[in-house]
Amino acid sequence: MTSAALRAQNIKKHHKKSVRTDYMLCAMLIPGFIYLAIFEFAPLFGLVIGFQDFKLSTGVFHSGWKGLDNFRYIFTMYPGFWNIVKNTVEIALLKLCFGFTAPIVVSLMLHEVTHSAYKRTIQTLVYIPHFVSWVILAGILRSMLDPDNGLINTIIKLFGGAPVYFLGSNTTFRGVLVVSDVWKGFGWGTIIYMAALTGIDPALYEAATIDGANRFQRAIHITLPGILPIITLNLILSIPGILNAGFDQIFNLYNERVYKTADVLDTFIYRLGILDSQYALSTAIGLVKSVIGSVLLIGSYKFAEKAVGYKVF
Amino acid sequence: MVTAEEKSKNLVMNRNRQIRSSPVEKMFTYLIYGVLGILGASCILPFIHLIALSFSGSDPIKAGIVSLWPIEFNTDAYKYALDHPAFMRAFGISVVRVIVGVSFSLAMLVTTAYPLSKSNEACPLNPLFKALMIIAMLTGGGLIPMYLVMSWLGLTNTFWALVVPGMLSLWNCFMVMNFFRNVPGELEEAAIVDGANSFQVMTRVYIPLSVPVIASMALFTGVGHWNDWFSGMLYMARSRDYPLQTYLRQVVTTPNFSSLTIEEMQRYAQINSKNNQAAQIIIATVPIMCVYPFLQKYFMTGLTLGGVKG
Repeated sequence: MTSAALRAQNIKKHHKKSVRTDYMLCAMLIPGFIYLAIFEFAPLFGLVIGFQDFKLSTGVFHSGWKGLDNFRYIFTMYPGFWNIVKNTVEIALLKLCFGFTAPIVVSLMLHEVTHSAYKRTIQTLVYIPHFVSWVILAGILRSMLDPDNGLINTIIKLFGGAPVYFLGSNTTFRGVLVVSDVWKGFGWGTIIYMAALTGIDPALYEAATIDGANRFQRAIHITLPGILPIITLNLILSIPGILNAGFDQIFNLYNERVYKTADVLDTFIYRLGILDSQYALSTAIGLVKSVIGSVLLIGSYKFAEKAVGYKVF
Repeated sequence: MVTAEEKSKNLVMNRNRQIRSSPVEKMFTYLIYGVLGILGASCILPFIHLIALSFSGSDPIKAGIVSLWPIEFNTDAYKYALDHPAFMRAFGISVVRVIVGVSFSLAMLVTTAYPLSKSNEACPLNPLFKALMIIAMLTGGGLIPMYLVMSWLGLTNTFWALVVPGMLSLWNCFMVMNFFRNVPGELEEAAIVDGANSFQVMTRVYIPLSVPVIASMALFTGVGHWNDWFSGMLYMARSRDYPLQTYLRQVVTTPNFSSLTIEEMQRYAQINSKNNQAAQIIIATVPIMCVYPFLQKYFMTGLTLGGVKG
């Protein structure tokens, strides 16, 4: 057969195929289905142990049912549970307040930098902490905040102050959490705003200058409104994080001395479930947290779609 | 109301300003440059401090006088780390994990995103799969159910526990799917006319065209695997199976004296533990810093793919 004839045949096949099911494509989805079933939906089904008198020996299918007893016990009887909820929300809100505004302020400042090499250098530096794990950052923080020979306390002593045990005191621990979290994330947070800032029409700045606006006025009246939609979107999408106070960070930094102010839902779920083997109780809290998280997530997506026309899917 | 005359005056002033700005604006500029400089420095100085610690002698470290430059320079801490079998073992596990994890994730990502980018007529499973994906993205089973599933599969205490969960990132899948959709359809038709089946179209047309996206996904997945410490801690009972970050967590939080022999213990006492920790942390951070320039190049791609544009 000539190659032209072969091509013609392929074209014919293709035209038939465009309305026909391509089984090869379907087959390619099989691993994805298996993955979803095992690692997304099986754990979802596993949430039923929150309603059970679950024991490892009897498993999910043969453990007795307890109805809402686990939930009742956690919410009404477990000592200190509501303090943990309070800690979670407070820490998350503190982080949101500072962690949300810092990137905006830094972006506005970066936007004013005209020296491009300087701007690039700063940008390169501020992204670094985002890529370093909390284990490593916790190691650095522990070393720097050491009450005996840490750098920070050496400086405090140099100025005549008394050394502070930052990670072991209920008054300072949250401060460390918030500052280090903002420090880790502010650079990364600027990226989205810097991308938005490049889209602002330079003619607006020229026009404003001609109308007599100084630099500060230009920043407030042109730059800020230019990124306002992204700011709104970011704020809306950060609402579901209200129950996530940052497990990785807190778990690597905290100790028993600061449980009172720093123990949060995720660290509690871990200790209760993995260290104390209270599987059912731990899952029950996880389930409630997960349901609230899902509701907030769906709500915030819907809200974002209404408010700024953002469509995720 | 700004009159035309004033406007032209401002225009002239603006031209002048470009040559010489007013003192207030100048101070404002210096202030911004200064604050940004401090912020930038704050992101790198802790690491430099740690490097200085790792090369310093134990007496200056105990006295807390090492800041940004090593005092009593020595490399003992690095020798200790590189001679320490547990450290090297954990390092090796992490390297293998990154390689295997990234390969598996990418294979899974591309083969899933490709059919999803096609029409529902060509692949009737698409609507179902997308619905399941969205449900999975909005919900979560949580810690204990996930742990039970892993132990039910017999994956706990095996290397696969570090690789298999999270193998398919649903979010990345959506991004790659959207990218595939923007590839011009004529290219695919041309390949089909030349006799390619859909798998060949994917490997010969779509994958070569999406190298930047796939590379950025590979980098971020790799960094994620390198930095992950939690799955090692959750699924591994023995510390000899720990990946590097989980091992480091143990070292950084509590030096485990019981696992050391007497000889090792003596060496440990010789080398200040802080110095030691610093060296191990630095070694664990070096690979991230090596890929950092590439990361920086690619993360803008990831953002624009996500649909957030200026």
